[in-house]
Amino acid sequence: MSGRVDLGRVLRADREILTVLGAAVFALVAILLLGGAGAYAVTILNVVLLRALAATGVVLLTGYCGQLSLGQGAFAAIGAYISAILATQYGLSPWLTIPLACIAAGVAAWVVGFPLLQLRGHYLALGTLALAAIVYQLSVELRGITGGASGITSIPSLTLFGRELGSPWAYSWIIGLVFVLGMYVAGRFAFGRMGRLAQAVREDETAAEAIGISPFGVKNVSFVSGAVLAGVSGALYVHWVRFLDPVPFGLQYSIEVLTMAVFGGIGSVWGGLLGAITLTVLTEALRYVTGVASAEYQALAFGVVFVAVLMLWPRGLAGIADVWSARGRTSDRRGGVPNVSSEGTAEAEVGIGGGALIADHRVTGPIRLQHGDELVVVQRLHCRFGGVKALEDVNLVVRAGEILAVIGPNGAGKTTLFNVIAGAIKPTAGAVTVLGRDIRGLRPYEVARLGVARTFQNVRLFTEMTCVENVLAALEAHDGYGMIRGLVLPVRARQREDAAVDEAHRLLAVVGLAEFAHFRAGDLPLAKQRALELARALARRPTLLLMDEPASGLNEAERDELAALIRSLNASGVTILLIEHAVDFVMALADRVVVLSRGMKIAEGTPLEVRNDRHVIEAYLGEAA
Amino acid sequence: MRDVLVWQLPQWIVSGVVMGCVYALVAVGLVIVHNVTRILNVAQGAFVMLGAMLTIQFAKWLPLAPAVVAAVVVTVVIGAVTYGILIYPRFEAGLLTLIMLTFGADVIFRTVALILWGPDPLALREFTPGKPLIIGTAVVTRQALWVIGVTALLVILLQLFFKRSLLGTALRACASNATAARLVGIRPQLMGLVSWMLAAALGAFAGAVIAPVTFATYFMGLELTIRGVVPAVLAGLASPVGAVVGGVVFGIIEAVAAGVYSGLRDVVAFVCLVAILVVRELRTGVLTTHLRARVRAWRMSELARGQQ
Repeated sequence: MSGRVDLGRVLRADREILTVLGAAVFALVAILLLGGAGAYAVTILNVVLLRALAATGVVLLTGYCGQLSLGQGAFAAIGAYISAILATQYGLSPWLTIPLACIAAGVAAWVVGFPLLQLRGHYLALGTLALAAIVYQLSVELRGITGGASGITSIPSLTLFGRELGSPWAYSWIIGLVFVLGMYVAGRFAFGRMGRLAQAVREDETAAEAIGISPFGVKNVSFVSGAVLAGVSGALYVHWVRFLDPVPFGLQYSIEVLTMAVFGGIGSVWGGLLGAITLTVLTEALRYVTGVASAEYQALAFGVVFVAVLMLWPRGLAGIADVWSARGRTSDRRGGVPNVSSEGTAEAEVGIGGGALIADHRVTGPIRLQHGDELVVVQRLHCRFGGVKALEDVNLVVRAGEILAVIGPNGAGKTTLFNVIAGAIKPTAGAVTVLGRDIRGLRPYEVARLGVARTFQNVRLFTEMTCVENVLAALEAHDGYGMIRGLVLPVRARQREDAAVDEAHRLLAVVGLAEFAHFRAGDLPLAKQRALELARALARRPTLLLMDEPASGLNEAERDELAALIRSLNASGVTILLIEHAVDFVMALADRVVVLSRGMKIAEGTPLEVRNDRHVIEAYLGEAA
Repeated sequence: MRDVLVWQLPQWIVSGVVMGCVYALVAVGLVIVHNVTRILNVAQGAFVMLGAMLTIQFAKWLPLAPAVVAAVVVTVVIGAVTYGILIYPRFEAGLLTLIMLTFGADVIFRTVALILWGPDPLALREFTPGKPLIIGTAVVTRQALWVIGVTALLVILLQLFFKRSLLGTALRACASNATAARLVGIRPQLMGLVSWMLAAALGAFAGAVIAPVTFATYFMGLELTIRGVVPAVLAGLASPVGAVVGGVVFGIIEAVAAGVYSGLRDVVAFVCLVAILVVRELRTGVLTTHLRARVRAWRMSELARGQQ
């Protein structure tokens, strides 16, 4: 058991260290090899590394976090101009101005991120496109500061021990070093906590919020990380070329960098570098072979390559490599685990075995409550969608320690009630307090952070992530090192992440998924997906667990196991509110039952009382009964 | 200063309305494509560019009217081919991929135009040369009237098409619920094609009528897309009529801002876009309720501290 856990950890740890080592080896070998090949070759190398930095920024934001930015050039331009202006007008050393420019790009991204990252999907793409246009326009218009179209000249180069790093080869050492640093940032992001949160947000924002991830916060970290990489690329460029006008970081730059990231593989930390190498070398080769140096044809080639890659290999070069390596590694990684599609092999583990484990796992919420305290209070709740009255004047109290079931025919408003308590839907009127806090103004992730976890009616997992990553996202949602602390204290951050990995494996064992830890969540059969969703919810150490039709789609045996699991959870101190269609299932399990019909509460009491209630029978069997 | 403003304001408004008509047509194209396919077509502005360039090209060989028709037909074919090659095969792909594809299409159109027609602005003669109208202190050229008239005509025809024709109804059905539309035998992919062709036609007409006013450049497409997005988003990406009104209003705002200081032109588009998007976010309420809750929580904690 522990051996497999360690393997996973080693693999992950290796991938992060491998990223930095690989980048270092690549940079070193390339600089040493090309150093002898003349200034032209080294110049190409410098261009490749600078572009790779900016393209890696695109990978973080677009590939990992799923937010399309068409304006990476804006941040490269900000980095370049800030560094150039500080160095020429204020006489600061480039050693100082480059980090400052880098910070400036990050701060700029952080500030514009507030309005821009509220936008989803294509709105964000257009917002960033407009941002790039505006930065370009400003660099042309603000002649007093940027020198307008004629640019800034005689920008100082970096000096080391009084000697200027004037030659491309001398400068390439600096670029190489910064590139390795950039890959360190990328690796920390991609294989650390932020990467998992970013992927969760990319795959399903609603589910991510339900487990306490702030989508906006995660997007902003991704956006700033990407901008910092672009900013340092721009700043390094400017002290190498020593002249800056608005042209190099115009629209074409944004397009080329995005193309490189897509070509190299937008889902991989190596995508930026692979794309930058391939496309830069191809462009140069094309120029060499045809003797045509015209920018038009180069731009057209980029456009065609960009579209072709999107059409043919959406995952880019790194994606192709991934497929190969995954094929080669699958059996090893799964360590002889039976194939997931052959159902029934590991089924016996669900529930019963889990129930035994849960006792020593001790799922307890952050807040100590007395048995019977009011945990959720819903008062005079009304919910209307247009003309549809989904809920009318519903009162409900959930008491600590109980299993409360909400039942009712289709369209009774059960899920709406659930969504209100989870903060996903704002009530039209009425009050909702959870753990003593009015949650009407809270976002779902804030409600989740109060100690409320939920599962969804239609299972919502992060399907492209592995089981263990799904649970990790919930464990680390707001617990763990942020990007900056993680970069400064990588060893401690990794220790915490490793602890979280162990915890995630334990939780998977609780729900009987220990052997499926490294399977893609989307590959699991439905029953196991439900179990995984439950593990993800438990990772929140919830005080209150909301379960939306947990038994739907399960067979008789699986239901019994689920019921046992719910009971043992409840025994360990979790209050449970569940919605269910399967009346038998509920009657055997719940302490109290609330019946909704057509948005109104028609009965409340023990299962026995409700079963014999005249209104309930009417609602279920129709007026005639 | 104030006198200059009062004296020039009517002229700015007139030129704002003219440009606003073009933005409106771009916005309507964006809305139609978005309604049916959920894609925000970054290449929409490029259709305007193609319409303008092709009209200028054909006008060298043909009289004006057939030149415009030929330009529109060719642009529609280009739009259809673009859809067929780029969007149709990847119809089920994620939004991210689709918008990147339209962005790629824009890049290709732009660079091909640069290669074919060069970097310099090209002019087209006015449709009906003659003395301009003088209204107060504003000069209204005949071409301006053409722009306004053609826009109005297109919008009316479009409304009739959507309300009266079977194809228009099918498009609306697809826009409101693609699954339901499929169930009654409408193919969403095919409707996507129709929407792209419509959008291309609107763009091409806009390009033809505006070419005599602004000149045609290879890079005008993306700028127009960004400007068209402002009213399109204002209309919630759903209502063509709202997009038209928004387009004209935005055109006026931009013209007045550019009149006050020419450097403001691009800033206005960006600021308007972000402002509208943020206001939209506020209206949907998530951010507002969030902030309200923050204030309330802060007040509560202050109260609690006061009581201690």
